[in-house]
Amino acid sequence: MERRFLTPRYMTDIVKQLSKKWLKRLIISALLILAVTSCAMNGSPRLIKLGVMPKEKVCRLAVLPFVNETDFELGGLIFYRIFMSELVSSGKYVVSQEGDIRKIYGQLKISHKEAPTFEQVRILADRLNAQLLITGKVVDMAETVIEQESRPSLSVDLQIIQADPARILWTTHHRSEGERYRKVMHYGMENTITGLAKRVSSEIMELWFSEGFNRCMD
Amino acid sequence: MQTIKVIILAALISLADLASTGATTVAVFPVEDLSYGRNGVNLELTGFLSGILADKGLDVVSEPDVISFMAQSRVRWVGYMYTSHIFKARDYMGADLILLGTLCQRKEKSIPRLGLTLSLVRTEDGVTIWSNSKGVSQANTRRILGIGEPDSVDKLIPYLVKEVLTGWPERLGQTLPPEESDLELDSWSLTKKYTQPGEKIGAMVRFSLPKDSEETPRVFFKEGNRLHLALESPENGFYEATWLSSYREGVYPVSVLLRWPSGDEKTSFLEEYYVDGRPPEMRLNIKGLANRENVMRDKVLIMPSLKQREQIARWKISIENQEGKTIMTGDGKGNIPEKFLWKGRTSSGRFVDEGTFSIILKAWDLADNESITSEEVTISRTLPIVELTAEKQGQNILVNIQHTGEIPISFWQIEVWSNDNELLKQTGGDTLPANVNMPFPDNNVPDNIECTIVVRDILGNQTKQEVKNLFQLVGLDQATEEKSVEEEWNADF
Repeated sequence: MERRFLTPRYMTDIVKQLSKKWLKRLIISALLILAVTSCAMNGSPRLIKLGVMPKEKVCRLAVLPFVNETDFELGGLIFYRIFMSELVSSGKYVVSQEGDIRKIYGQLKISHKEAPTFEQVRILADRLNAQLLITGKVVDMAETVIEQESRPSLSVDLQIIQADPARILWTTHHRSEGERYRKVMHYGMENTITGLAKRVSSEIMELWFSEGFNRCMD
Repeated sequence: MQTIKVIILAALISLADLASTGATTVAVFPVEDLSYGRNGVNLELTGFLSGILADKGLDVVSEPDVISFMAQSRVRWVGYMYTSHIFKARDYMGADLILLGTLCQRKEKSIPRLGLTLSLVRTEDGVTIWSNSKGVSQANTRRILGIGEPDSVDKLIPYLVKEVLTGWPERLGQTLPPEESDLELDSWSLTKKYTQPGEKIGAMVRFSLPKDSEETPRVFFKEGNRLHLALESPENGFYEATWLSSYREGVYPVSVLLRWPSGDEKTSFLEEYYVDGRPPEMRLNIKGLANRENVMRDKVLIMPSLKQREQIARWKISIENQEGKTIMTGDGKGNIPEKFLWKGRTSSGRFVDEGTFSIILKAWDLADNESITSEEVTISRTLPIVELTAEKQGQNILVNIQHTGEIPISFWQIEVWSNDNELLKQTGGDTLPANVNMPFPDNNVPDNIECTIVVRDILGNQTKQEVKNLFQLVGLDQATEEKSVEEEWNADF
């Protein structure tokens, strides 16, 4: 019986034996696998549950200002406004007024560049009468123009925090790009950071709801 | 039965809302424009939105009235509002709804694009009842051959507003019952965040009473189960109280409690304070370029460390001589530096004399618990003491080098030269005593040979000794006895 080893010469022989058609199929399959896996990495938000959601219905939520860790000017505020808007439009919660949150931030001398401590979270929850609070940071926000197309990208980290005792219940990371939503030609693609932020917010909320984030007004 | 009544009432309210859509009054507040920074305002877009809402059949509060309300109520920002201002807007302008907007992005270059967020707030209960956001770019409005395509952000605005207003609520919805706690705290503080057991602690708070409150409540600070009555200061309107902190270490949350004569109570959490009676435990590690039982020549590296991580409020380091006189001090606020370097000088910059010194470090934690630790260090600048002997052994000369000083040596080196500058022997080592063996010169050798030895101790003190004629040391040349010894202290090491 002839013994065969995976020598370079033997490998070259195998490649030669494969027809051009099969080679083409192999390359396409590899590209498809690459595309699918990269979509998965860049697609759905990732949720880590660190605690159990309260059993009672959650009605009042407070979204604390997001920290901007990017060079995109006011990136934290832009995503904050859009996320708040999506949360309100879900129609499931009473969301604390941003003004009331900023007033307490001022009283507690919390800078918008930093996340509050657990003690401050407790005070905020007490003043706002909120059962849960959402904090977060914008890790990456960019908008590049290539061939007359604006291509935004966004990456955020959000946390759902229980006020008393103060602890992080869920933490979620989501990264997405406007290109991801392209269907045919330019259709479907998100061309603005606003549009992408809306998509990202809505995808995060969809995941939360499907994972059992209590909705007050169901 | 009660639930059915509530549902019927809610349905009636909804129907009434539907019927009275035309009579709804909306105050459109200036739209925040983030493309101009945090305080940017876009009044053109504000006016455009007002026009569209008026076309929908809503009563829109005029822009001057909104601006006047903002000035009167000291609303100095756009894009968001305090709930108290929302209620005021209802009373002052008769607004049922408030429209807040933010232009999240506005880019003209390369490809025009815009982003807008709108929120509608019901003034009756301060709840945001509707919100929508949308981003558009020229790419979203592409048409065949580009005919009629908006080519600037100004032309994109009508398209964007139309998109965002999709889903505008046709009714106001059910008003939520007022919140239980509408106690609004204006300001509060504790005199100390960290305290030692049994120490005096004070708190002050100022608040606005609920609208429906007719009687004045008694005010208490609540700490666990303990209540401390607070009295109103006539000077600043603050309610103040002092008490002794607990004798048990721990974290103590403090709340303000309002108790009305009717028995009603409202509580609001203020903040926590910490009782800490343990001083921080510290250690001092003394390190130098060479270290032997904390004996140094000049540079002393002092490395403090805490046994348990703890925040330090302030610290002080001092160095005392044997008489207890402080010759050097330093202090600072916040955590202790990782290391200190003492260069063997006093505060005035003078080198200290040899001797033993105490390095004392004091530190105070946030509760002002004091901790002291100290270490001794000896400064020694004595030069290595070298004894050199030589004897003839057969055809060789045996040179013996001894060190009688207390400080161990770092290295030694010996060189033997002829009088016509020929190097006859060079050797060295790091321990003493040592013997150096060299052949006895034959008939051709010069009249004398010269020897130089260098010895340095671990502190950097160095002795250099020269013997002009090694024959004389051996005892072969009595006539030319000449021995020269040079000792020096080397500052560079």
